[in-house]
Amino acid sequence: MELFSYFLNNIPNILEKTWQHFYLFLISWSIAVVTGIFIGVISTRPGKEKIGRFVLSITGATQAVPSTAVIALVFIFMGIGALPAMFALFIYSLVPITFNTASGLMNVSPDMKEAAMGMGMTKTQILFKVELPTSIPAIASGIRTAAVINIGTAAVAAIIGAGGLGEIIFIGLRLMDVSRIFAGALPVALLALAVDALLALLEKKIMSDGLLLSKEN
Amino acid sequence: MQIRLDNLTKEYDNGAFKAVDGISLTLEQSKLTVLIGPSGCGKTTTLKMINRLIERTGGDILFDEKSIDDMDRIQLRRKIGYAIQNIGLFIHMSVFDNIAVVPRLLKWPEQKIKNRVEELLELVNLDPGVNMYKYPAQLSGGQKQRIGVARSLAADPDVILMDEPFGAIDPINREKLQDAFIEIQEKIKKTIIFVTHDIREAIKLGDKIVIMDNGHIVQYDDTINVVNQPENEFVESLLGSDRALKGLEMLRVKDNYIKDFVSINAEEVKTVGTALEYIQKKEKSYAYVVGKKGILLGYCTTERLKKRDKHDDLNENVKKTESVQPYSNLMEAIITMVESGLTSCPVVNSKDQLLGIIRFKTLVDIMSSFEKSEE
Repeated sequence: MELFSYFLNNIPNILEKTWQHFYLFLISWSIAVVTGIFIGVISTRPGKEKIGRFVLSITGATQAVPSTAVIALVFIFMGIGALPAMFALFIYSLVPITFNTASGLMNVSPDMKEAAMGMGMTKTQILFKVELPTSIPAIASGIRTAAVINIGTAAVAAIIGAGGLGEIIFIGLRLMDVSRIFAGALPVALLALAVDALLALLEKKIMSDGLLLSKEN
Repeated sequence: MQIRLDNLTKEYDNGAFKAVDGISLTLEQSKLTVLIGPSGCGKTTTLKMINRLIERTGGDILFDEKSIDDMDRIQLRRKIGYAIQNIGLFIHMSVFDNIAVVPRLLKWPEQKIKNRVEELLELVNLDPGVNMYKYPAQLSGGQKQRIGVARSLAADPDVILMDEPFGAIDPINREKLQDAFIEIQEKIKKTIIFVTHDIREAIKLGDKIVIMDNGHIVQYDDTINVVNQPENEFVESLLGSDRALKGLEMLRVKDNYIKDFVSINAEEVKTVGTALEYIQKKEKSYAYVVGKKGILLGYCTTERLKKRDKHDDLNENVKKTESVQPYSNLMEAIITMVESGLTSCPVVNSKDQLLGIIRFKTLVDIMSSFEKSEE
Protein backbone atom coordinates (compact mmCIF):
# COMPACT_ATOMS: atom_id res chain seq x y z
CA MET A 1 0.00 0.00 0.00
CA GLU A 2 3.08 2.17 0.54
CA LEU A 3 3.45 2.29 -3.23
CA PHE A 4 -0.04 3.66 -3.79
CA SER A 5 0.03 6.22 -0.95
CA TYR A 6 0.99 9.25 -3.03
CA PHE A 7 -1.35 8.18 -5.79
CA LEU A 8 -4.36 7.81 -3.51
CA ASN A 9 -3.72 11.05 -1.61
CA ASN A 10 -3.28 13.21 -4.72
CA ILE A 11 -5.94 12.07 -7.13
CA PRO A 12 -7.12 15.56 -8.20
CA ASN A 13 -3.54 16.63 -8.93
CA ILE A 14 -2.81 13.42 -10.83
CA LEU A 15 -6.00 13.81 -12.84
CA GLU A 16 -5.03 17.32 -13.75
CA LYS A 17 -1.53 16.25 -14.81
CA THR A 18 -3.01 13.35 -16.76
CA TRP A 19 -5.24 15.75 -18.61
CA GLN A 20 -2.23 18.01 -19.37
CA HIS A 21 -0.34 14.98 -20.54
CA PHE A 22 -3.19 13.85 -22.73
CA TYR A 23 -3.49 17.33 -24.17
CA LEU A 24 0.24 17.45 -25.06
CA PHE A 25 -0.15 14.12 -26.77
CA LEU A 26 -3.42 14.78 -28.57
CA ILE A 27 -2.41 18.07 -30.15
CA SER A 28 1.07 17.03 -31.24
CA TRP A 29 -0.01 13.59 -32.39
CA SER A 30 -3.10 14.75 -34.34
CA ILE A 31 -1.07 17.28 -36.30
CA ALA A 32 1.55 14.60 -36.90
CA VAL A 33 -1.09 12.17 -38.24
CA VAL A 34 -2.37 14.69 -40.77
CA THR A 35 1.09 15.93 -41.75
CA GLY A 36 2.62 12.44 -41.86
CA ILE A 37 -0.06 10.99 -44.11
CA PHE A 38 0.16 14.08 -46.29
CA ILE A 39 3.94 13.81 -46.72
CA GLY A 40 3.63 10.06 -47.24
CA VAL A 41 1.08 10.55 -50.00
CA ILE A 42 2.85 13.44 -51.72
CA SER A 43 6.20 11.70 -51.78
CA THR A 44 4.83 8.55 -53.40
CA ARG A 45 2.84 10.04 -56.29
CA PRO A 46 3.74 8.52 -59.67
CA GLY A 47 6.84 10.14 -61.08
CA LYS A 48 8.11 11.06 -57.61
CA GLU A 49 9.59 7.65 -56.78
CA LYS A 50 12.95 9.23 -55.99
CA ILE A 51 11.43 11.58 -53.42
CA GLY A 52 9.56 8.62 -51.96
CA ARG A 53 12.74 6.63 -51.48
CA PHE A 54 14.47 9.71 -50.01
CA VAL A 55 11.65 10.23 -47.49
CA LEU A 56 11.83 6.54 -46.57
CA SER A 57 15.55 6.62 -45.88
CA ILE A 58 15.40 9.90 -43.93
CA THR A 59 12.48 8.84 -41.77
CA GLY A 60 13.95 5.36 -41.40
CA ALA A 61 17.20 6.81 -40.05
CA THR A 62 15.50 9.42 -37.86
CA GLN A 63 13.66 6.68 -35.97
CA ALA A 64 16.99 5.74 -34.43
CA VAL A 65 17.46 9.18 -32.81
CA PRO A 66 16.64 8.97 -29.07
CA SER A 67 13.64 10.99 -27.89
CA THR A 68 15.69 12.92 -25.32
CA ALA A 69 17.95 14.16 -28.11
CA VAL A 70 14.98 15.55 -30.02
CA ILE A 71 13.70 17.29 -26.91
CA ALA A 72 17.15 18.69 -26.17
CA LEU A 73 17.49 20.03 -29.71
CA VAL A 74 14.09 21.69 -29.62
CA PHE A 75 14.96 23.22 -26.25
CA ILE A 76 18.10 24.80 -27.77
CA PHE A 77 16.11 26.45 -30.54
CA MET A 78 12.75 27.12 -28.92
CA GLY A 79 13.34 27.32 -25.20
CA ILE A 80 10.99 25.90 -22.59
CA GLY A 81 7.25 25.47 -22.19
CA ALA A 82 4.37 23.43 -23.53
CA LEU A 83 4.72 24.70 -27.08
CA PRO A 84 8.32 23.59 -27.69
CA ALA A 85 7.43 20.29 -26.03
CA MET A 86 4.52 19.78 -28.37
CA PHE A 87 6.74 20.64 -31.28
CA ALA A 88 9.27 18.01 -30.23
CA LEU A 89 6.50 15.45 -29.78
CA PHE A 90 5.10 16.36 -33.17
CA ILE A 91 8.46 15.82 -34.89
CA TYR A 92 8.99 12.57 -33.08
CA SER A 93 5.50 11.23 -33.97
CA LEU A 94 5.79 12.38 -37.54
CA VAL A 95 8.57 9.95 -38.30
CA PRO A 96 6.80 6.57 -37.94
CA ILE A 97 3.61 7.88 -39.53
CA THR A 98 5.39 9.25 -42.60
CA PHE A 99 7.59 6.18 -42.89
CA ASN A 100 4.69 3.73 -42.70
CA THR A 101 2.42 5.72 -44.99
CA ALA A 102 5.10 6.01 -47.65
CA SER A 103 6.15 2.38 -47.41
CA GLY A 104 2.52 1.21 -47.35
CA LEU A 105 1.67 3.19 -50.47
CA MET A 106 4.83 2.08 -52.25
CA ASN A 107 3.93 -1.54 -51.60
CA VAL A 108 0.44 -1.37 -53.14
CA SER A 109 0.44 -4.03 -55.85
CA PRO A 110 1.22 -2.51 -59.27
CA ASP A 111 -1.39 -4.85 -60.77
CA MET A 112 -4.15 -3.25 -58.73
CA LYS A 113 -2.97 0.20 -59.76
CA GLU A 114 -2.77 -0.79 -63.42
CA ALA A 115 -6.23 -2.34 -63.31
CA ALA A 116 -7.61 0.77 -61.60
CA MET A 117 -6.07 3.05 -64.19
CA GLY A 118 -7.16 0.86 -67.10
CA MET A 119 -10.72 0.87 -65.78
CA GLY A 120 -10.82 4.64 -65.93
CA MET A 121 -10.27 5.79 -62.35
CA THR A 122 -8.76 9.25 -61.98
CA LYS A 123 -5.54 9.61 -59.98
CA THR A 124 -7.52 10.91 -57.01
CA GLN A 125 -9.94 7.99 -57.23
CA ILE A 126 -7.03 5.55 -57.37
CA LEU A 127 -5.57 7.16 -54.23
CA PHE A 128 -8.77 7.14 -52.21
CA LYS A 129 -10.42 3.98 -53.50
CA VAL A 130 -7.40 1.73 -53.95
CA GLU A 131 -4.10 2.94 -52.56
CA LEU A 132 -5.13 4.33 -49.17
CA PRO A 133 -7.68 1.60 -48.31
CA THR A 134 -5.18 -1.16 -49.06
CA SER A 135 -2.45 0.65 -47.10
CA ILE A 136 -4.54 0.97 -43.94
CA PRO A 137 -2.68 -1.78 -42.02
CA ALA A 138 0.69 -0.08 -42.59
CA ILE A 139 -0.58 3.44 -41.93
CA ALA A 140 -2.51 2.39 -38.84
CA SER A 141 0.48 0.65 -37.35
CA GLY A 142 2.53 3.82 -37.89
CA ILE A 143 -0.16 5.88 -36.20
CA ARG A 144 -0.39 3.51 -33.24
CA THR A 145 3.38 3.33 -32.79
CA ALA A 146 3.49 7.12 -32.91
CA ALA A 147 0.76 7.40 -30.26
CA VAL A 148 2.48 5.07 -27.81
CA ILE A 149 5.90 6.66 -28.32
CA ASN A 150 4.35 10.11 -28.05
CA ILE A 151 2.69 9.41 -24.71
CA GLY A 152 5.93 7.95 -23.34
CA THR A 153 8.08 10.78 -24.65
CA ALA A 154 5.66 13.39 -23.31
CA ALA A 155 6.73 12.31 -19.83
CA VAL A 156 10.34 13.16 -20.70
CA ALA A 157 9.18 16.52 -22.09
CA ALA A 158 8.50 17.63 -18.52
CA ILE A 159 12.23 18.45 -18.38
CA ILE A 160 11.60 21.46 -20.58
CA GLY A 161 8.62 22.58 -18.58
CA ALA A 162 5.85 20.97 -20.58
CA GLY A 163 3.88 19.88 -17.54
CA GLY A 164 2.02 16.60 -17.54
CA LEU A 165 2.69 13.39 -15.66
CA GLY A 166 6.42 13.70 -16.27
CA GLU A 167 6.50 16.43 -13.63
CA ILE A 168 5.38 14.03 -10.94
CA ILE A 169 7.96 11.48 -12.06
CA PHE A 170 10.84 13.97 -12.13
CA ILE A 171 9.99 15.39 -8.70
CA GLY A 172 9.79 11.82 -7.43
CA LEU A 173 13.22 11.12 -8.87
CA ARG A 174 14.73 14.17 -7.20
CA LEU A 175 13.16 13.28 -3.85
CA MET A 176 13.90 9.58 -4.31
CA ASP A 177 10.19 9.02 -3.61
CA VAL A 178 9.18 5.70 -5.21
CA SER A 179 5.51 6.20 -4.43
CA ARG A 180 5.58 9.53 -6.29
CA ILE A 181 7.42 8.08 -9.30
CA PHE A 182 4.90 5.28 -9.41
CA ALA A 183 1.97 7.71 -9.21
CA GLY A 184 3.35 9.46 -12.32
CA ALA A 185 4.38 6.39 -14.26
CA LEU A 186 1.25 4.31 -13.80
CA PRO A 187 -1.14 6.78 -15.51
CA VAL A 188 1.36 7.20 -18.38
CA ALA A 189 1.32 3.46 -18.98
CA LEU A 190 -2.45 3.24 -18.62
CA LEU A 191 -2.94 6.17 -20.98
CA ALA A 192 -0.69 4.57 -23.60
CA LEU A 193 -2.49 1.25 -23.31
CA ALA A 194 -5.93 2.84 -23.48
CA VAL A 195 -5.09 4.95 -26.53
CA ASP A 196 -3.51 2.00 -28.30
CA ALA A 197 -6.53 -0.22 -27.57
CA LEU A 198 -8.88 2.47 -28.84
CA LEU A 199 -6.88 2.90 -32.02
CA ALA A 200 -6.74 -0.86 -32.57
CA LEU A 201 -10.51 -0.93 -32.35
CA LEU A 202 -10.79 1.93 -34.80
CA GLU A 203 -8.39 0.25 -37.19
CA LYS A 204 -10.43 -2.93 -37.16
CA LYS A 205 -13.54 -0.92 -37.83
CA ILE A 206 -12.31 0.90 -40.91
CA MET A 207 -10.18 -1.89 -42.38
CA SER A 208 -11.81 -4.19 -44.91
CA ASP A 209 -12.09 -7.88 -43.99
CA GLY A 210 -10.62 -8.58 -47.39
CA LEU A 211 -7.25 -7.22 -46.27
CA LEU A 212 -7.26 -9.33 -43.15
CA LEU A 213 -8.02 -12.43 -45.22
CA SER A 214 -5.34 -11.71 -47.79
CA LYS A 215 -2.80 -11.20 -44.99
CA GLU A 216 -3.65 -14.59 -43.55
CA ASN A 217 -3.01 -16.31 -46.87
CA MET B 1 -17.11 -0.49 -82.49
CA GLN B 2 -14.53 -0.62 -85.24
CA ILE B 3 -10.97 0.24 -84.31
CA ARG B 4 -8.43 1.29 -86.89
CA LEU B 5 -4.75 1.65 -86.17
CA ASP B 6 -3.15 4.04 -88.61
CA ASN B 7 0.63 3.99 -88.87
CA LEU B 8 0.71 3.59 -85.09
CA THR B 9 4.15 4.16 -83.62
CA LYS B 10 5.75 4.15 -80.19
CA GLU B 11 9.28 5.42 -79.93
CA TYR B 12 11.46 5.52 -76.86
CA ASP B 13 14.56 7.64 -76.27
CA ASN B 14 13.74 10.07 -79.10
CA GLY B 15 13.43 7.40 -81.72
CA ALA B 16 16.45 5.35 -80.70
CA PHE B 17 14.13 2.42 -80.04
CA LYS B 18 10.84 1.75 -81.76
CA ALA B 19 8.64 -0.60 -79.72
CA VAL B 20 5.88 -0.32 -82.31
CA ASP B 21 6.96 0.75 -85.77
CA GLY B 22 4.16 2.20 -87.86
CA ILE B 23 1.55 -0.52 -87.83
CA SER B 24 -1.76 -0.13 -89.66
CA LEU B 25 -4.68 -2.48 -89.34
CA THR B 26 -8.42 -2.55 -88.86
CA LEU B 27 -9.74 -4.59 -85.96
CA GLU B 28 -13.02 -6.11 -86.93
CA GLN B 29 -16.16 -5.52 -84.96
CA SER B 30 -17.48 -8.40 -82.82
CA LYS B 31 -14.40 -10.47 -83.54
CA LEU B 32 -11.68 -11.68 -81.25
CA THR B 33 -8.33 -10.59 -82.63
CA VAL B 34 -5.21 -12.06 -81.08
CA LEU B 35 -1.94 -10.15 -81.00
CA ILE B 36 0.91 -12.63 -80.77
CA GLY B 37 4.66 -12.65 -81.10
CA PRO B 38 7.86 -13.14 -79.12
CA SER B 39 8.43 -10.95 -76.06
CA GLY B 40 9.43 -7.44 -77.06
CA CYS B 41 7.55 -7.64 -80.36
CA GLY B 42 5.30 -4.73 -79.36
CA LYS B 43 2.04 -6.58 -78.78
CA THR B 44 1.42 -5.34 -75.25
CA THR B 45 2.55 -1.82 -76.16
CA THR B 46 0.05 -1.84 -79.03
CA LEU B 47 -2.71 -3.00 -76.70
CA LYS B 48 -1.96 -0.40 -74.06
CA MET B 49 -1.90 2.41 -76.59
CA ILE B 50 -5.53 1.63 -77.36
CA ASN B 51 -6.66 2.63 -73.86
CA ARG B 52 -3.86 5.14 -73.55
CA LEU B 53 -2.08 3.50 -70.65
CA ILE B 54 0.85 4.09 -72.98
CA GLU B 55 0.76 7.22 -75.12
CA ARG B 56 1.68 6.75 -78.75
CA THR B 57 4.37 8.88 -80.35
CA GLY B 58 3.12 8.69 -83.90
CA GLY B 59 0.19 7.71 -86.12
CA ASP B 60 -3.37 7.49 -84.85
CA ILE B 61 -5.96 5.21 -83.35
CA LEU B 62 -9.50 5.69 -84.62
CA PHE B 63 -12.69 4.46 -83.00
CA ASP B 64 -15.36 4.42 -85.71
CA GLU B 65 -13.09 6.84 -87.59
CA LYS B 66 -12.90 9.24 -84.64
CA SER B 67 -9.36 9.98 -83.47
CA ILE B 68 -8.38 8.91 -79.98
CA ASP B 69 -7.16 12.48 -79.38
CA ASP B 70 -10.75 13.73 -79.60
CA MET B 71 -11.77 11.58 -76.65
CA ASP B 72 -11.24 12.12 -72.95
CA ARG B 73 -8.72 9.57 -71.71
CA ILE B 74 -10.66 8.69 -68.54
CA GLN B 75 -14.02 8.43 -70.32
CA LEU B 76 -12.43 6.32 -73.05
CA ARG B 77 -11.08 3.82 -70.51
CA ARG B 78 -14.46 3.48 -68.85
CA LYS B 79 -15.89 2.47 -72.21
CA ILE B 80 -13.21 -0.15 -72.84
CA GLY B 81 -13.05 -3.33 -70.78
CA TYR B 82 -9.60 -4.24 -69.51
CA ALA B 83 -8.29 -7.52 -68.12
CA ILE B 84 -4.66 -8.23 -67.27
CA GLN B 85 -2.53 -11.27 -66.57
CA ASN B 86 -2.22 -10.74 -62.84
CA ILE B 87 -5.88 -9.75 -62.71
CA GLY B 88 -5.32 -6.98 -60.17
CA LEU B 89 -8.50 -7.63 -58.24
CA PHE B 90 -8.93 -5.10 -55.44
CA ILE B 91 -8.17 -7.16 -52.35
CA HIS B 92 -10.10 -4.89 -50.02
CA MET B 93 -13.29 -5.13 -52.05
CA SER B 94 -15.78 -7.96 -52.28
CA VAL B 95 -16.42 -9.70 -55.59
CA PHE B 96 -19.50 -7.53 -55.93
CA ASP B 97 -17.61 -4.27 -55.40
CA ASN B 98 -14.83 -5.35 -57.74
CA ILE B 99 -17.24 -5.96 -60.59
CA ALA B 100 -19.19 -2.82 -59.74
CA VAL B 101 -16.21 -0.46 -60.06
CA VAL B 102 -16.79 0.82 -63.59
CA PRO B 103 -20.62 0.88 -63.36
CA ARG B 104 -20.22 2.99 -60.22
CA LEU B 105 -17.76 5.30 -61.95
CA LEU B 106 -20.43 5.69 -64.63
CA LYS B 107 -23.00 6.38 -61.88
CA TRP B 108 -25.38 3.57 -62.69
CA PRO B 109 -28.28 3.18 -60.23
CA GLU B 110 -27.46 0.57 -57.52
CA GLN B 111 -30.28 -1.77 -58.50
CA LYS B 112 -29.07 -1.90 -62.09
CA ILE B 113 -25.54 -2.62 -60.83
CA LYS B 114 -26.78 -5.44 -58.64
CA ASN B 115 -28.64 -7.05 -61.52
CA ARG B 116 -25.62 -6.68 -63.76
CA VAL B 117 -23.24 -8.25 -61.23
CA GLU B 118 -25.54 -11.25 -60.80
CA GLU B 119 -25.89 -11.62 -64.53
CA LEU B 120 -22.12 -11.50 -65.03
CA LEU B 121 -21.37 -14.00 -62.28
CA GLU B 122 -23.77 -16.41 -63.93
CA LEU B 123 -22.15 -15.75 -67.28
CA VAL B 124 -18.74 -16.75 -65.92
CA ASN B 125 -20.25 -19.78 -64.18
CA LEU B 126 -19.96 -18.64 -60.58
CA ASP B 127 -22.98 -18.88 -58.29
CA PRO B 128 -23.84 -15.27 -57.30
CA GLY B 129 -25.43 -16.40 -54.02
CA VAL B 130 -22.23 -18.10 -52.90
CA ASN B 131 -19.59 -15.80 -54.34
CA MET B 132 -20.94 -12.26 -54.49
CA TYR B 133 -19.73 -11.14 -51.08
CA LYS B 134 -16.52 -13.14 -50.92
CA TYR B 135 -13.18 -11.36 -50.94
CA PRO B 136 -10.50 -12.16 -53.53
CA ALA B 137 -8.44 -13.93 -50.85
CA GLN B 138 -11.24 -16.48 -50.53
CA LEU B 139 -11.21 -17.44 -54.21
CA SER B 140 -9.12 -19.94 -56.18
CA GLY B 141 -6.85 -18.74 -58.98
CA GLY B 142 -9.34 -19.82 -61.64
CA GLN B 143 -12.21 -18.09 -59.87
CA LYS B 144 -10.21 -14.88 -59.59
CA GLN B 145 -9.52 -15.01 -63.31
CA ARG B 146 -13.24 -15.40 -63.99
CA ILE B 147 -13.98 -12.39 -61.80
CA GLY B 148 -11.32 -10.49 -63.74
CA VAL B 149 -13.13 -11.32 -66.98
CA ALA B 150 -16.52 -10.47 -65.46
CA ARG B 151 -15.12 -7.15 -64.23
CA SER B 152 -13.85 -6.25 -67.69
CA LEU B 153 -17.36 -6.86 -69.05
CA ALA B 154 -19.10 -4.99 -66.25
CA ALA B 155 -20.26 -1.81 -67.97
CA ASP B 156 -21.08 -3.69 -71.17
CA PRO B 157 -18.24 -2.15 -73.18
CA ASP B 158 -18.09 -2.56 -76.96
CA VAL B 159 -14.37 -3.18 -76.85
CA ILE B 160 -12.42 -5.33 -74.44
CA LEU B 161 -8.64 -5.42 -74.15
CA MET B 162 -7.13 -8.53 -72.63
CA ASP B 163 -3.46 -8.84 -71.80
CA GLU B 164 -2.70 -12.55 -71.29
CA PRO B 165 -5.72 -12.90 -69.04
CA PHE B 166 -5.21 -16.64 -68.58
CA GLY B 167 -1.42 -16.49 -68.43
CA ALA B 168 -1.00 -17.03 -64.71
CA ILE B 169 -3.15 -20.16 -64.51
CA ASP B 170 -2.06 -23.81 -64.57
CA PRO B 171 -2.54 -25.56 -67.95
CA ILE B 172 -5.58 -27.64 -66.98
CA ASN B 173 -7.55 -24.72 -65.58
CA ARG B 174 -6.39 -22.53 -68.44
CA GLU B 175 -8.01 -24.93 -70.94
CA LYS B 176 -11.23 -24.82 -68.95
CA LEU B 177 -11.21 -21.04 -68.75
CA GLN B 178 -10.53 -20.77 -72.46
CA ASP B 179 -13.45 -23.09 -73.24
CA ALA B 180 -15.72 -21.11 -70.95
CA PHE B 181 -14.48 -17.89 -72.51
CA ILE B 182 -15.24 -19.11 -76.06
CA GLU B 183 -18.81 -19.81 -74.98
CA ILE B 184 -19.08 -16.37 -73.40
CA GLN B 185 -17.82 -14.65 -76.53
CA GLU B 186 -20.34 -16.64 -78.63
CA LYS B 187 -23.01 -15.00 -76.50
CA ILE B 188 -21.71 -11.46 -76.16
CA LYS B 189 -19.94 -10.94 -79.50
CA LYS B 190 -17.66 -8.14 -78.35
CA THR B 191 -14.74 -6.64 -80.19
CA ILE B 192 -11.91 -8.22 -78.24
CA ILE B 193 -8.21 -7.59 -78.60
CA PHE B 194 -6.31 -10.36 -76.89
CA VAL B 195 -2.57 -10.46 -76.28
CA THR B 196 -0.85 -13.80 -75.74
CA HIS B 197 2.48 -15.46 -76.40
CA ASP B 198 0.91 -18.92 -76.53
CA ILE B 199 0.25 -19.94 -80.14
CA ARG B 200 -2.14 -22.69 -79.05
CA GLU B 201 -4.22 -20.13 -77.17
CA ALA B 202 -4.13 -17.83 -80.20
CA ILE B 203 -5.37 -20.54 -82.56
CA LYS B 204 -7.97 -21.72 -80.11
CA LEU B 205 -9.50 -18.34 -79.30
CA GLY B 206 -8.75 -16.04 -82.20
CA ASP B 207 -11.10 -15.28 -85.05
CA LYS B 208 -8.19 -13.36 -86.48
CA ILE B 209 -4.52 -13.37 -85.63
CA VAL B 210 -1.99 -10.56 -85.84
CA ILE B 211 1.55 -11.91 -85.78
CA MET B 212 4.07 -9.31 -84.69
CA ASP B 213 7.84 -9.14 -84.60
CA ASN B 214 10.14 -6.21 -83.83
CA GLY B 215 7.28 -3.74 -83.78
CA HIS B 216 6.00 -4.78 -87.21
CA ILE B 217 3.06 -6.85 -88.37
CA VAL B 218 4.29 -10.05 -90.01
CA GLN B 219 0.88 -11.46 -90.86
CA TYR B 220 -2.71 -10.44 -90.17
CA ASP B 221 -5.40 -12.80 -91.31
CA ASP B 222 -8.19 -15.15 -90.29
CA THR B 223 -6.86 -17.83 -87.98
CA ILE B 224 -7.49 -20.60 -90.46
CA ASN B 225 -5.52 -18.76 -93.14
CA VAL B 226 -2.62 -18.18 -90.79
CA VAL B 227 -2.50 -21.89 -90.02
CA ASN B 228 -2.97 -22.91 -93.65
CA GLN B 229 -0.80 -20.32 -95.33
CA PRO B 230 1.91 -19.00 -93.08
CA GLU B 231 3.34 -15.86 -94.60
CA ASN B 232 6.98 -16.78 -94.07
CA GLU B 233 9.40 -18.89 -92.07
CA PHE B 234 8.95 -16.74 -88.97
CA VAL B 235 5.24 -17.53 -88.85
CA GLU B 236 5.94 -21.20 -89.61
CA SER B 237 8.38 -21.47 -86.74
CA LEU B 238 5.90 -19.73 -84.44
CA LEU B 239 3.23 -22.22 -85.44
CA GLY B 240 5.59 -25.13 -84.86
CA SER B 241 5.92 -28.41 -86.70
CA ASP B 242 2.67 -29.80 -85.35
CA ARG B 243 0.44 -27.13 -86.81
CA ALA B 244 -1.86 -29.69 -88.41
CA LEU B 245 -2.65 -30.89 -84.91
CA LYS B 246 -2.87 -27.33 -83.59
CA GLY B 247 -5.26 -26.52 -86.39
CA LEU B 248 -7.71 -28.92 -84.78
CA GLU B 249 -7.89 -26.60 -81.79
CA MET B 250 -9.58 -23.83 -83.68
CA LEU B 251 -12.32 -26.04 -85.02
CA ARG B 252 -15.33 -26.73 -82.85
CA VAL B 253 -17.07 -30.02 -82.37
CA LYS B 254 -20.41 -28.32 -83.09
CA ASP B 255 -19.52 -27.77 -86.74
CA ASN B 256 -18.16 -31.24 -87.34
CA TYR B 257 -20.28 -33.85 -85.59
CA ILE B 258 -22.95 -36.04 -87.12
CA LYS B 259 -26.37 -36.70 -85.74
CA ASP B 260 -26.82 -39.88 -87.75
CA PHE B 261 -25.41 -42.66 -85.59
CA VAL B 262 -26.30 -45.95 -83.92
CA SER B 263 -27.43 -45.81 -80.33
CA ILE B 264 -29.32 -48.10 -78.03
CA ASN B 265 -31.89 -46.91 -75.56
CA ALA B 266 -31.41 -48.90 -72.38
CA GLU B 267 -34.96 -48.06 -71.37
CA GLU B 268 -36.23 -50.22 -74.24
CA VAL B 269 -33.42 -52.68 -74.88
CA LYS B 270 -32.79 -54.66 -71.73
CA THR B 271 -30.84 -57.75 -72.78
CA VAL B 272 -27.49 -58.41 -74.38
CA GLY B 273 -29.14 -60.48 -77.10
CA THR B 274 -31.42 -57.76 -78.43
CA ALA B 275 -28.60 -55.23 -78.31
CA LEU B 276 -26.20 -57.48 -80.20
CA GLU B 277 -28.78 -58.24 -82.87
CA TYR B 278 -29.49 -54.52 -83.28
CA ILE B 279 -25.84 -53.52 -83.64
CA GLN B 280 -25.05 -56.30 -86.09
CA LYS B 281 -28.05 -55.40 -88.20
CA LYS B 282 -26.58 -51.92 -88.53
CA GLU B 283 -23.22 -53.47 -89.45
CA LYS B 284 -21.36 -51.77 -86.63
CA SER B 285 -18.91 -53.08 -84.06
CA TYR B 286 -20.13 -50.93 -81.19
CA ALA B 287 -22.94 -48.60 -80.20
CA TYR B 288 -23.54 -45.89 -77.63
CA VAL B 289 -26.08 -46.59 -74.93
CA VAL B 290 -28.40 -43.93 -73.58
CA GLY B 291 -30.75 -44.02 -70.62
CA LYS B 292 -33.60 -41.87 -69.39
CA LYS B 293 -34.02 -38.57 -71.33
CA GLY B 294 -31.28 -39.62 -73.71
CA ILE B 295 -28.53 -39.32 -71.12
CA LEU B 296 -25.33 -41.01 -72.23
CA LEU B 297 -24.50 -44.12 -70.19
CA GLY B 298 -21.55 -45.43 -72.20
CA TYR B 299 -21.01 -47.84 -75.04
CA CYS B 300 -21.02 -51.57 -75.70
CA THR B 301 -19.02 -53.53 -78.27
CA THR B 302 -20.20 -56.56 -80.20
CA GLU B 303 -16.96 -58.26 -79.25
CA ARG B 304 -17.88 -58.09 -75.58
CA LEU B 305 -21.59 -58.83 -76.06
CA LYS B 306 -20.84 -61.98 -78.04
CA LYS B 307 -19.05 -63.44 -75.04
CA ARG B 308 -22.12 -62.98 -72.82
CA ASP B 309 -25.29 -64.97 -72.52
CA LYS B 310 -27.98 -63.31 -74.61
CA HIS B 311 -30.31 -63.08 -71.62
CA ASP B 312 -27.78 -61.12 -69.56
CA ASP B 313 -28.65 -57.60 -68.43
CA LEU B 314 -27.34 -55.06 -70.97
CA ASN B 315 -26.65 -52.47 -68.27
CA GLU B 316 -23.90 -54.62 -66.80
CA ASN B 317 -22.07 -54.67 -70.12
CA VAL B 318 -22.01 -50.96 -70.79
CA LYS B 319 -18.58 -49.38 -70.59
CA LYS B 320 -18.30 -45.76 -69.49
CA THR B 321 -16.68 -43.28 -71.86
CA GLU B 322 -15.50 -39.70 -71.87
CA SER B 323 -17.44 -37.27 -74.05
CA VAL B 324 -17.04 -33.82 -75.55
CA GLN B 325 -19.44 -30.89 -75.78
CA PRO B 326 -20.34 -28.81 -78.85
CA TYR B 327 -17.96 -26.02 -77.84
CA SER B 328 -15.05 -28.37 -77.25
CA ASN B 329 -12.43 -28.29 -79.98
CA LEU B 330 -11.43 -31.15 -82.21
CA MET B 331 -8.16 -31.60 -80.33
CA GLU B 332 -10.12 -32.57 -77.24
CA ALA B 333 -12.18 -34.97 -79.34
CA ILE B 334 -9.09 -36.69 -80.68
CA ILE B 335 -7.66 -37.06 -77.17
CA THR B 336 -10.91 -38.61 -75.99
CA MET B 337 -10.77 -41.10 -78.86
CA VAL B 338 -7.21 -42.05 -78.10
CA GLU B 339 -8.18 -42.68 -74.49
CA SER B 340 -11.26 -44.78 -75.26
CA GLY B 341 -9.77 -46.59 -78.26
CA LEU B 342 -12.96 -46.03 -80.25
CA THR B 343 -13.15 -44.60 -83.76
CA SER B 344 -15.63 -41.97 -82.64
CA CYS B 345 -16.37 -39.81 -79.67
CA PRO B 346 -19.81 -39.01 -78.24
CA VAL B 347 -21.00 -35.42 -78.16
CA VAL B 348 -23.26 -34.43 -75.28
CA ASN B 349 -24.88 -31.24 -74.06
CA SER B 350 -24.42 -29.80 -70.58
CA LYS B 351 -27.08 -32.20 -69.24
CA ASP B 352 -25.11 -35.17 -70.57
CA GLN B 353 -27.73 -35.93 -73.23
CA LEU B 354 -26.25 -37.57 -76.32
CA LEU B 355 -26.44 -35.19 -79.30
CA GLY B 356 -24.33 -37.03 -81.83
CA ILE B 357 -20.90 -38.41 -82.50
CA ILE B 358 -17.75 -37.12 -84.00
CA ARG B 359 -15.88 -39.58 -86.22
CA PHE B 360 -12.17 -40.19 -86.38
CA LYS B 361 -12.34 -40.16 -90.16
CA THR B 362 -13.62 -36.57 -90.11
CA LEU B 363 -10.61 -35.54 -88.06
CA VAL B 364 -8.18 -37.32 -90.36
CA ASP B 365 -9.70 -35.60 -93.39
CA ILE B 366 -9.36 -32.19 -91.74
CA MET B 367 -5.77 -32.81 -90.73
CA SER B 368 -4.78 -34.00 -94.17
CA SER B 369 -6.20 -30.80 -95.63
CA PHE B 370 -3.80 -28.88 -93.35
CA GLU B 371 -0.95 -31.17 -94.31
CA LYS B 372 -1.59 -30.52 -97.99
CA SER B 373 -1.35 -26.79 -97.58
CA GLU B 374 1.93 -27.30 -95.79
CA GLU B 375 3.60 -28.78 -98.88
